[in-house]
Amino acid sequence: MPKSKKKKLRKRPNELTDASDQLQVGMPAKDSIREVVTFVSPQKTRYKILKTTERDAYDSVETQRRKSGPKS
Amino acid sequence: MPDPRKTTTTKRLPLTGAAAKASLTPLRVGMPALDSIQKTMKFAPKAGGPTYQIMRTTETDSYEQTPAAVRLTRLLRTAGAPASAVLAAAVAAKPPKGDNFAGSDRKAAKLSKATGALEKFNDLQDLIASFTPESKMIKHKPPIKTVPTSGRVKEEERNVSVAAFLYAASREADNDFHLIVGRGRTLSPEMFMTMEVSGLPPKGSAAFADLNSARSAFKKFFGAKVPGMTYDFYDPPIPVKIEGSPFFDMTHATGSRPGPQSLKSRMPTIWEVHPLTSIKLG
Repeated sequence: MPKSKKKKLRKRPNELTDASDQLQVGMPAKDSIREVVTFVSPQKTRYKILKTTERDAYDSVETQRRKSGPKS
Repeated sequence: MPDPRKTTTTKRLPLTGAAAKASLTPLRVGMPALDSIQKTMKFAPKAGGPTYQIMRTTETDSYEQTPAAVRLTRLLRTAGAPASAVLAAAVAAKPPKGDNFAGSDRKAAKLSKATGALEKFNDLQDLIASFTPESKMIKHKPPIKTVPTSGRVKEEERNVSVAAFLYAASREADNDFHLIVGRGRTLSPEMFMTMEVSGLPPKGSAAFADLNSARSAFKKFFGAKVPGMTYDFYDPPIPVKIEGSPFFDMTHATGSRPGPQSLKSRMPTIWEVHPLTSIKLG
């Protein structure tokens, strides 16, 4: 049996949502979305993962740097 | 079963631990995040008329880089709760002096009234649907520049009126008041957009009389409770009838867009009504 090709589909933020998507309940602000990844669950349900710039407001800049790791 | 959006109430302001002047319904359409409310004020614009609660928040447009806005952002990112007095001082930063427009981007367009006949809308959704799509405006021919001399393009040569509700407002560094105007609370989907009570052009300008009239009406309605640097939210939202000229905010076509964090996800456009040439509140 051939190996299934696992592929993450990435889209630019501009391609990810039309106006109707954006107004769905629970969507993030359009200008916070930095990347969209298509995700297929083990149950074969397709989702869009919207990777955003949003974080907990009380997170300090230092905490964020630590979380994202050292920069080269 | 009662709707929890209407029945969930609280008086506690988690940002400061203080109590609100009256109960808040934090799940109601158009409310700010509870932890962004610095204080509340009762507001009765007309004797015997409707009363409102003003929620003064720590929310600003995320691209604001004034020293006061940066100071407030830093304060909110410190570990633990900021001292109430320090927070109050940061939110109450002094507004710009006077009433003259102090910005530069697309100044010619922002300070002009369009030439088109007045188009009337009864639903904000219809007004938003009438705007030329952003993708076309961004690739406009000729390109829309952000220099001060950038005037209105043909898609902006319209005048519109709409009846809606004022959910939030703030005063920007360029002396414009940003109004976050939305549909009625019972209408779905929720939808908001920015409308601006402009800073004033020079007195000899053709648009001066209309812009001055709208600004005076706005300031008179709020009196001492006119919004400051951070967004004030209104509970219930204030009925508003506006007239003005649509404007495409090319400056924010990329990067952060205008609006308070709590409502931005339901602001589908960077089209604005800017400037307002008439406003009737309450």
